[in-house]
Amino acid sequence: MDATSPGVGPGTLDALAAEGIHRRFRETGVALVTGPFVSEVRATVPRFVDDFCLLYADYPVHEKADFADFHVSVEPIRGPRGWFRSLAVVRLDDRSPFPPLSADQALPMFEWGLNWAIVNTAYQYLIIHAAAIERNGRAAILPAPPGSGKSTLCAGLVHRGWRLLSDEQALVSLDEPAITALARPVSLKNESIDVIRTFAEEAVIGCEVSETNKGTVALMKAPRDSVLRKSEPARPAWVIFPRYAAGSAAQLTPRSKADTFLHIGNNAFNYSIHGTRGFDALARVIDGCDCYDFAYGDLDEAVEVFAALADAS
Amino acid sequence: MTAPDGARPSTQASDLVPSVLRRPERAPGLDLRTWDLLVRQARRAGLLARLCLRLEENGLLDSVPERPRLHLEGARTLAAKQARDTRWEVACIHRALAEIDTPVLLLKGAAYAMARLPAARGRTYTDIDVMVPKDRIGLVEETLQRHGWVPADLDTYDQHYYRDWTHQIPPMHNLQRGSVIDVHHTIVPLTARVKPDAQSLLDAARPVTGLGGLRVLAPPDMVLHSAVHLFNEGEFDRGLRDLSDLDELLRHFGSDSAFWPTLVTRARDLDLSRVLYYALRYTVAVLATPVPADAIRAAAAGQPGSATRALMDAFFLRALRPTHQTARDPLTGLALWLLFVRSHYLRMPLHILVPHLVRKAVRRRTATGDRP
Amino acid sequence: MPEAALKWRSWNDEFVVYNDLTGDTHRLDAVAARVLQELSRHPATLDEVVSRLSADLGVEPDDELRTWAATALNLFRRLDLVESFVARGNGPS
Repeated sequence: MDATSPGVGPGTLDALAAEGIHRRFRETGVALVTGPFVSEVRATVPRFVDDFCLLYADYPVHEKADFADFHVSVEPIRGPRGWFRSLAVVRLDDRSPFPPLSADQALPMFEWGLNWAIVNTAYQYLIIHAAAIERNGRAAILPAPPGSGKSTLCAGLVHRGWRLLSDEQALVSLDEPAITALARPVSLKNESIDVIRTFAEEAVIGCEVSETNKGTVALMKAPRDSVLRKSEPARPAWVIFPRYAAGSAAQLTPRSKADTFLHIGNNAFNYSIHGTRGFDALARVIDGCDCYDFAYGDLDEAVEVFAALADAS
Repeated sequence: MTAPDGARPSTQASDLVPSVLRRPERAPGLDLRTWDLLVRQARRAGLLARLCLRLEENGLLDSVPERPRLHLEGARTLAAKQARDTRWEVACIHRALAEIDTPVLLLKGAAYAMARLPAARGRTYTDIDVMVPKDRIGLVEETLQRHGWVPADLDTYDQHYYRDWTHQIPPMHNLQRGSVIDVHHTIVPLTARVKPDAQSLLDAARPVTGLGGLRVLAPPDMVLHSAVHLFNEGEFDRGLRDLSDLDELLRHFGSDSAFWPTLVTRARDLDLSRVLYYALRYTVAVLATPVPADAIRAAAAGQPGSATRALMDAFFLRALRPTHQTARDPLTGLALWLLFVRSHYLRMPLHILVPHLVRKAVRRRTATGDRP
Repeated sequence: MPEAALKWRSWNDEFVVYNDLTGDTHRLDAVAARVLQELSRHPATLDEVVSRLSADLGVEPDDELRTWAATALNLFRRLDLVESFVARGNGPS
């Protein structure tokens, strides 16, 4: 049995005592399980703890941390003289990959910090810069640069029959065509936040932070189902490059596999680390996938197109 | 081989990484909490990949629990990639400098990689270090620039510091590949009190197979260079890793019994007996390097007075721990600072030392954010 | 200089190639891929490449073909995909 599965041994975060949760984060830390990783999380920023408990309520936690893959701490620090807003810093095993930001951005910083940690240590995977979702055992990989609507599309689809594997980092196996689920919060920006609120009333969106360097940022909780089923397999079947444009009709256009290969390789987080093995792993993915560009302007239409894809073949 | 008096390291969190390197058979018996600490310390020390390979070559890797094992293997993957990159980088440097008539001596990691030494395995690589004759430096710099390397962007003070006082020109980085090359013209700074003879090092150098013109130091010189770098340059971010490199070199070369007397003699000829003394003392103490008793006795000729020796034990044994916070004790910071000051004393006359240290301290304080 | 070790994959007559020496990956169309594959097996001069291309594609070995071939070969060389190609027809090195 997998010691990181929910319901086996460890309970979930929301089952931990509500009383004293802040003290727990401050003193012993909480061993949070996300996908295949265990993170020991410590925090002395109260607002962060509340936001964190909202978004990570369904995730398994270990009673006692034994071996953790990552050690993340979120702490306040004093700004330079004359700076009145309180600042917070995220540390990974005592070193900080990012400069401090205002304390209300603590949760986005935690997410970036955990992303950074995964990318810099999890070399057991080929990590692609893409969202990934699954249906009927098959996965769609959605690579896209910022502003293409990938996260909005992903957030919408996981409330319409698709399981969330990841919003940012698709963990591809090096030996077989498989994607391992992370199922962490989905990052939404600006207009997308309201779009998703309207599109999926059941979506839990927390921690809206304005005035970041990316505009207004909010984190959407991964659907409970996606977290519970994180150990189920997902075999890549489609690579789809979304491009949102208002008024655009939903349209799938086949795309060169060789171009897709090169694009994914150039934008992956650790393709070049793996050398020949990375080349083979990515080729295996492309072998088994239909590759498309996808233009869309309306989420409901997009959902239909994706449903048709899943039903066909 | 017992450790010399007073140089016995304490067995606890601070000795975790060395103890598993010394006795890899301890690994299967470690609990997960200890693995958690070991992985973090070894990673921070730059030794995670070497630890992985040490366990693997002893048939012990499969008995490591899965989650820590993934970290070990991940580090091994990264080290393999860096080794590939280094070999290619050396080939590109060779191609560029083959146009001009100069011997090019590879130093440190690049040398270990091209000479296929055990010290290369599991190592992380950053810059490539090479040494060329002093009278060729200008030509080498110019040739590299023609092949796509650009000098680092430094202010006048730092340019002056590099060119006039240290033993290298400012680092150059390759625009296309992002790699960095450090070109030295001797192995210690120009103003150092103890100056080994650079020409002698070049004369004794060995060629690299298949890459004509490239050379590596002769075995005793390779050991002494590594030791000078570790014990005299005051930088211990990679202290334990550098000590481990020394251990690997000594084990490999030392399997030939003729190596040891040559090493001691060479140290004396290059005026590096003190450095050799420290090298043997601390590799034995921390990593249980099998140094023959005769060699230890002969190297004792380079030892400092007993008061200094006790002091250096206190400093070096702390500085040579992993830099992870769980391996430190309250005196570690002081030890590091004093060794840092000592290294500048060894490198610079006093009247230059104080203004330089002040300037370095000011620049560290104004740097923003933590170091990654 | 060490020899490049190349790995190939293709879909619908488009090719990707991985160079184990440099760690780089490139995308090539069918003709360029064919030329590179042959060069990596048997070093050849520009003239030899042009005449083989001309035969395979069924086109005249004219200036246009020659220019294309020379550009491709220079590109391969710059990318360290081939080492032993010699541009001036002096025979394989």
